[in-house]
Order: sequence, then C-alpha cells, then structure tokens
Amino acid sequence: MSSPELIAAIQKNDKSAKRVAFETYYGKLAAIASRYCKNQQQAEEILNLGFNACFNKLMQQRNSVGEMDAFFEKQFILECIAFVKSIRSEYYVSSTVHATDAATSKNYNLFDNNELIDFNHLETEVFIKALQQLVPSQRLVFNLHVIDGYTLAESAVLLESSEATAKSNLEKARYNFQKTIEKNIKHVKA
Amino acid sequence: MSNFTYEIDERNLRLKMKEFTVPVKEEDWQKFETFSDTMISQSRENRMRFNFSLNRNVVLPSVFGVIIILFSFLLVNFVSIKNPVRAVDQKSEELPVMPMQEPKIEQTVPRAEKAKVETPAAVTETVVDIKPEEKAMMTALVTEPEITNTPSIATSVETPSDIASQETEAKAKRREIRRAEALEAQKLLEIRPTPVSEERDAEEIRPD
Repeated sequence: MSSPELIAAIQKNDKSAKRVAFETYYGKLAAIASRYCKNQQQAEEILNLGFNACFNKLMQQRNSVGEMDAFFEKQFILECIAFVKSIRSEYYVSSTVHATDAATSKNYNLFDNNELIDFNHLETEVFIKALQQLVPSQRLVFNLHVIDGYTLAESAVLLESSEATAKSNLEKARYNFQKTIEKNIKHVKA
Repeated sequence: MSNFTYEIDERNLRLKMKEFTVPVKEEDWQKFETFSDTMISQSRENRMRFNFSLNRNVVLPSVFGVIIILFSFLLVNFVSIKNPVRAVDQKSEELPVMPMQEPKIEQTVPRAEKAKVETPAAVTETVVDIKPEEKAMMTALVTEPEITNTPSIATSVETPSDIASQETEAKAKRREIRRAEALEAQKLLEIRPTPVSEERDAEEIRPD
C-alpha cells in the first residue's frame, strides 16, 4: 500500500490501514519515545498517546499531508513535548535536584584511574540511558537540537521559552550527558 | 575556567539515534487498540457531559459586574439627560392651560306631590234597579280612580345667561352700596366740627 493510499484509508478510519501504519512507523517512533522519556513505562504510554494523536490529526487533515514519514515524526515529537511538559511536578522538582547534583558531584580524587572513553564507539543503548537520566528541560532541548535537527530558535518556540534559556539548557545538557555516560560506564565496570 | 571538554561527536550520535529502531510486537498493537477504544469512549462521554465550573474566578467577577450595573442604574435615576432650557420652556407652555369652568347648573328637582286620589264617597245602600251595562260602568269608576291633580315636576335649570344676569345684579348692588357709603361719608364731612384754624380766626376777630 502506497503512502497516499494509506493516508486515504486512515482518513476513512480503516483499522487495517491503521495497523499497517502502526507496524511501519512503530520502530522509529518507539526510539523517539525512549529518547524523550525518562523510562520504558513512560515511553509505552507516550507511544499510545502519540500514535492516537497522529491518526486523529491525519483524519482531521483535509489538505495534502506530504510525506507520511515526516508528518508522523513531527506530530509524535510535538506529542512527546506536551507529555513531558504535562508532568509539571516532575519537571520542576527533578530539575532542581539534578542541578544541585551536577554542581556538587565533582571528583577530586587525583589517584583515580581516569580511563579515556571513546564516545564514538559506544552502544546506542548507553546514549539512550544517559539521555533518560537528563533533566526534562535539558533532555527536551538536547533531543530537539542535537538529534532531531531543530535550530535553537525553533526548539525555543516549541518549548515555549526564550532562546537564551534554550541555549543555557543545551550547554548544561551537553555537560551532564557526557558526565552521565562516564559515570554509567564506570559504574558498569565497577 | 573549567577543565571540561566536550568529546561527543554529535553528528555520529545523530546518525546512531536515527538508525535505532525498536522491533514491533503483536502485544504493542493490541495495547494500542485497547487504548484507542478507551479514548474514543471517553471522548464520547466527555461530549455528552456539560461541565460548568463555578469557582471564585467566575463568581466574583459576575457579582462585581452586577453591583456595578446596579450602581450605574442608581446614578442614572438621579441624572436627567434632557436639556434643562427646553424643559423650562415646556413647563411655561404647560402652565397657562386652565380648564374652562363649566357653569353651575342647579337642578332643583321638587318632590313629586303625592297624587291626590279622590276616593268615592261612602256609598249609601240604596236599592236601585241597575242594568248590567250601567253596573259595569259603575265598577269601572270604582276600580279606576280619577287622578285629578297630576304632579308637575318643576325644574329650574340655570343657564349661562342666567348666571350672567345674576352677576350683573350683584355688581349693581355693590355699586349701590358704594354710592350709599359715599353719601354717608359726605354727610359726615358736613356734620364734622370746624377745624382749629377757623376757631383761631374767630378768636382773633373777637374783640377783647
């Protein structure tokens, strides 16, 4: 089934077409969900919500959708941002907790064997785990700017914040991301 | 100055993340199906419901609005928006209009005099030969008394001309009274004693 036919079938609320679309885009959207959420449980929840939102949007859409791949991805990312923002208590509390952790967790042990880590040859799961450990605001801006390719201004608009805040969060996210990976690798080795 | 060096190649990271996919399972589709069904039923229920939250954000502004409207009505009652000059003109125009006094019509309705019924005098019993025709005439005379004096209802209605004549008479009377008063005054003047100057003159003339 070609993309326009699939879109037409989904717009007619055809369940088989929906299933085809679900199976086609599940792998990619599940990867996105795991990046944006802090654990697997949240990822599953957001997957269902995201797919439902995508199908509803597609059914409401009367104009041409364009590429279905891009449409699904964009809608799913927007749904992920809304979901992460909706958990406000977690958003703010965890933000403060992690900020203090990052400030105080400095290693002053000079005799600690600092092994060099080749970040380019790490497994994807390591990166995803490190991303999940980031603060929501930092995780969102890192995902949007570094992985999904949005500019800082665009990601600031999507996150409903200023560009300076987005930039600041991105810098913190980069620092925390690398440090978390180092910490996780050391923890595994130990 | 921090010793931190960012060593992660973001382009490589992006490629890795874009390539990363999660395998599909039958369970996932079933989970999604149940989830979408529940969402549809929830949306239907939400459509049927009518939610109107009455919290302080709704009640307080509405109460204040009502108070402001009532107060403005109160003020509007005290303030007359009409042009005052025109209002005065209207009042002056309205004042001279006086209703015409209708002439008093005295209706003296005299009591209707009781009709004098002449009852026939006492019939002396006399044996007379009366024919049946004459007898019928007699009974008729006895039963239907003759009304000799019918009451005449005298009504005196005063017309405007009568009222005018009465007024003229009253004026004439007043004139007469005034004339009489004037005559009396003249008489009094004539009777009045001579003034003091005249007496002095008389004394002067008098020889010592």
